[in-house]
Amino acid sequence: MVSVLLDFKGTKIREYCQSKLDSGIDPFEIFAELQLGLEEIGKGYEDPGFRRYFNSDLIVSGRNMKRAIDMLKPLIPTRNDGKGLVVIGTVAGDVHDIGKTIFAVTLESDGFLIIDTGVDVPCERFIAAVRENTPDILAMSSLLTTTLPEMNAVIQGLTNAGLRDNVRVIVGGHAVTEGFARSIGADAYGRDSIEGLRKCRDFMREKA
Amino acid sequence: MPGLHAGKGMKIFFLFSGPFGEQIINTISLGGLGQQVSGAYELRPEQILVPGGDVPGPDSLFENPERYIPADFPETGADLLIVLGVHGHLSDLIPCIARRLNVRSVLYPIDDRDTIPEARKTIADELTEMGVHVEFPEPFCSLSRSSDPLIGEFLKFFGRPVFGVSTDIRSGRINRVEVLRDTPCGSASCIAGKLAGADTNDLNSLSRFCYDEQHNDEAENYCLAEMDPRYPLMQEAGDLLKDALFEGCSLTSTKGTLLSFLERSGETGVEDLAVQVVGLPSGKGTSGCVTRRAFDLYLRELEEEYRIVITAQNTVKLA
Repeated sequence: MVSVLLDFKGTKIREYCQSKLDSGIDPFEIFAELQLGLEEIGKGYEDPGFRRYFNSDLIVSGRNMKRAIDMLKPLIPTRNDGKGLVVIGTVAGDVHDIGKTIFAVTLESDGFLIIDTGVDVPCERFIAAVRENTPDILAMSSLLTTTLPEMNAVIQGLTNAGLRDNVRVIVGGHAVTEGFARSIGADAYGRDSIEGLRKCRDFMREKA
Repeated sequence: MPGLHAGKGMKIFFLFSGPFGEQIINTISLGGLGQQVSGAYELRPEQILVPGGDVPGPDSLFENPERYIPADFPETGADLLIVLGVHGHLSDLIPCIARRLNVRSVLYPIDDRDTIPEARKTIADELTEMGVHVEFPEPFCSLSRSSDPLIGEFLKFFGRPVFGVSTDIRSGRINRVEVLRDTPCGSASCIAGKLAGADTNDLNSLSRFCYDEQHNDEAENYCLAEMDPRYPLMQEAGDLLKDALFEGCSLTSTKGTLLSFLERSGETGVEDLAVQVVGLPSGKGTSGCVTRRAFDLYLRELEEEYRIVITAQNTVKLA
């Protein structure tokens, strides 16, 4: 799995996904398997005792995950069964989209409706998206610690615009911690896409 | 004897790890030196785990490196050993591997802090004692000259990028870009293929295109160096690429800006000069560079070329 994600040419990932699809494996299951591989590389990169994966491994595996998402996403049924509407995006100053996209696909496959605002999303655009779409949940991602204040700015902006009480806010991404999420007044922190999904389900249960 | 193996008969062996190494081997093999590759071996830390799953400590590797060379390491020879992205912990094996391969030169580029050899000086001393020339370019694409004939031969193909650009005199648009020397990662060739029609009068766009494309992971080849702002190797590589293109287009590169400023202002403090040249606010380094690392490199080169003098008081003046 890891070697598939680390293939710089990107041919192995396509072959891997295709062969799994050909053997009748559910596209979301393939997606989830790849996520485990990505997590393993991430752990190897962050291991304080012995870093086994480097910057280049993160870049290449991220690129391959994007290739897999491009291939698998159209095949993952979007249930759209009215579980909830989520506006999602990566905050301004940060162009990383893998974590955000993985979370979006995970939510979508669980029946949430997604409005993906993309990456490097300015505060005003998040607020406008909430005003225009009245989502149940706003999900923000940030990989870089330098862009963390943007999350705070968006929450403050929602409050100032009188929109905060109508939307639950979940934050996640490499730079975010549970403590940070609490300190800026977010409703939840998602350590990974599965925990994020669980919390979004909780939001919708509370709302029902 | 170093030198005997230079030229077309030179054999290259790669010791690598991960996609960083694979991309460079691919570029070098397809970019003119394929016939000269005698072999490649991927050395990952997992291969030399000691019982219990731990990686052997630096002491044990240093004291008995032979013991840790994997059993399937190929029995082959080479003139030039290129070490790519191998974990810094494993660097004590390099002299031993160099001996096995009977190489004359070692190129040990550093494009990530985690690959910095833990005992760099010891390794360099040991290789030198063996009569093996070693260089540690940081990043790989900063390599532009060498006293070693084997590395010199390598530099005819790969290293700091060099472009030959033909432009339409009337419109200033690029007609054709020839890559005279590619970056080892191959990003220079990738960018060159996309430059036809670019306007050399629009410095901001040309510069931004260069920086963006250099690490564009949608491209076939792109820079995989470390990008941490505290160790901005990728950004430095971007500076080198942008300046190479500007030089190819006969536009003012960072070195030209440096010299012009000194001509206008006379003797200037290094730090004051850096303020003028590094991270210029008008676009991403249109006439300067983004990183202090590139600035320092250019300054060293200009001094070596006897074009400037750096004084003991840390000021710079034209020679």
